[in-house]
Amino acid sequence: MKFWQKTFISVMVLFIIAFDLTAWLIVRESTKQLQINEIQTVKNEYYIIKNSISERLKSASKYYTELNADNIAQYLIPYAQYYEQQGISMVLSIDGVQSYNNFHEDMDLPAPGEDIEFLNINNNSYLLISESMDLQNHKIQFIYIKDESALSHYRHEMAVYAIRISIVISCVLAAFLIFFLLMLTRPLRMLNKGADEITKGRYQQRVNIKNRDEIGEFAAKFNLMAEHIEQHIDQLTEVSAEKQRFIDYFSHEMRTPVAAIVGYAELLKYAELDEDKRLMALDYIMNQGTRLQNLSAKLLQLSVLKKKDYDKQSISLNNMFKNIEDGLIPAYQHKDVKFHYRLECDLIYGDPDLLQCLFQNLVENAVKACSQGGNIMIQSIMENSRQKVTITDDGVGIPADDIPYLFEPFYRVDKSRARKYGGAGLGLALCKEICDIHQAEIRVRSNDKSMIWEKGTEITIYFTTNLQHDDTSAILPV
Amino acid sequence: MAKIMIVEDEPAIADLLAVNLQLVGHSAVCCDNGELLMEMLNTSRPDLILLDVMLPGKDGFTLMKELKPLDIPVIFLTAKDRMDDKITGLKLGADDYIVKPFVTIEVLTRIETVLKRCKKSSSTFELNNLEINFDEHSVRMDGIPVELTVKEFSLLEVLVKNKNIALSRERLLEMIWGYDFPGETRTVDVHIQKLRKKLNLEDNIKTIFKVGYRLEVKP
Repeated sequence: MKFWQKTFISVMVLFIIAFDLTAWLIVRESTKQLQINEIQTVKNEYYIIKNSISERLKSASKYYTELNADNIAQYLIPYAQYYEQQGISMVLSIDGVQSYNNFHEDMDLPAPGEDIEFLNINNNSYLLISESMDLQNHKIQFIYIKDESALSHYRHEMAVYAIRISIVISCVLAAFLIFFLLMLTRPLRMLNKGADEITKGRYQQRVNIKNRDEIGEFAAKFNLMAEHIEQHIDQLTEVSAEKQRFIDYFSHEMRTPVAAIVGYAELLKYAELDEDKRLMALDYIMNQGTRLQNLSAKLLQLSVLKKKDYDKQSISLNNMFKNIEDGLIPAYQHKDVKFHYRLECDLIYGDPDLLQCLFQNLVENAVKACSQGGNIMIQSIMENSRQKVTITDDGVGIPADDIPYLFEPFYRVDKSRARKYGGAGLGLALCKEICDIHQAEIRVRSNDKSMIWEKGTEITIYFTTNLQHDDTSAILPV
Repeated sequence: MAKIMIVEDEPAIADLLAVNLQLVGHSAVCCDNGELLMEMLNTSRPDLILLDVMLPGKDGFTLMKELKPLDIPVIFLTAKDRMDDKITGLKLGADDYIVKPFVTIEVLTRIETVLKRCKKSSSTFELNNLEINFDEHSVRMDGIPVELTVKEFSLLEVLVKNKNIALSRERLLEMIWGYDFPGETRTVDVHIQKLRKKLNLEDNIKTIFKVGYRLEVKP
């Protein structure tokens, strides 16, 4: 059963019980008051009449020798007849002998008593007073009986009225109550609907409830919760997508060389090939094998990186870059690429092997990006108490769309993963790992007007770990 | 026999496929990106397209949408083997979907199946003085029909469709007699002998030591 229905029924039941109980109590009390008044009135009347008759009988007894049932009746009759219209009956008896009785019911008349009595005969109620007076040594009993059906009638009428009123008011109350309750619970229904929508996956759903009561508070918290859920789900989706991308690219990088190797081996076995084709097949087998080898070596590096014990020392950037440059001579010589250095901060603190790997990768990328007569600038300066190392080239650059994904494993700008610029797309992922290990931040800019040569790519690494000192830095001629 | 377009950006794979296709008698054309493909299709239409999914620029699935109305059979060739990708590929209207790494014979067989389905497969073949008709299941030597059993003809057909590629006895047994065949590979040897005798193909059906049998035909 719904909340508003439960509330409605409870209130209605309570109201009806309360109202009817009150009405009943009031009717009962007012009937009681009326009764008390009535009794008082009846008593007064009785005594007046009784005294009157008493006086008359006293003066009458002078004229009569003997009072008896016959001669006393006349003194009562005027009263009896008069009061008959009011539903009052009287009985007079002398020494037990009935003199006058205009009560229409048959009954044994009670002996004189002190108190007023209630009678109930044939569903009619009566008030009865019975007392005696002594006269001439006779016991004269005077009984007064009043029909009280008016009173019970009153009571009955009041009860009926109370019931009718209760019904009318209940209906009105019911109508208002329903309207009011539905209005109050409307925010709850809105919350319900909101929750439904979110369950169905529409996480951007919010609830529009403006009031400040408890439900309003809840609604505000609900919205906040939904906000967090949406953000969290977005994050998870992103992470999941990233993982899937990794798997896709990884499997492609693995499968393609394997397919080539297997395919050419099959060809050599099953087909008769001329010498050219035979050599082509064998060359491919060797190349693709090497490619797989490089791939697995880089992957291994990537996974092992996290577990290594790092051996941090102070290293000279000057020396390191010189080594790297020399190692790359065969790669850049024919392109006539020029290296420029601005190493204001020569020393860097970190793991030598890792840093070598990091800078090697970056410089290699720069060399690959350069075209004939290209330029590469390598800088190391202090900026806001952070050491900033920058490698800039004026080569082919990177499209803006690709920059967010650049450091993801296997990500390559050229999505076909073709070998034109070489590599499997793991170099930058490795670099990012190494930077993370050194708590350094790596950033990329490309084809930006504020760069040195305006075109090309600029990679900046901000080192925050144990910084070195002021000091002597080798500034090399540009 | 058929003209096949290879759309693949990995030169190793593209060359591998081209060589194999040429061996069995198809002609192969290569290109390595979607734009080039659409241009080339303007000038001449191949009988079948082998389409890699991961291509530079437009990927294979996007290209498929443009290829569908051209009504050329397409087989996807790719390293992505997730069920979603396979379903996407087939739903887009491809005729088949092959995952790398692949077995060359499998690729060739599937190509043959698709060509047959699209009626682009040639129904006859001529070799020396023989005229083989695959639809009729008949062979004529100098115009005179030669009697061959069902299995002998099947064997001949397989050798022809995979010419210049050696097929092992096990594979022949599988392809012609089925997986459940309880017999041994001797059956294959016997049938090969019969074919050689009946059709004068001693010089063409070569025994490759430790490998299998190969029908050699100059391309």
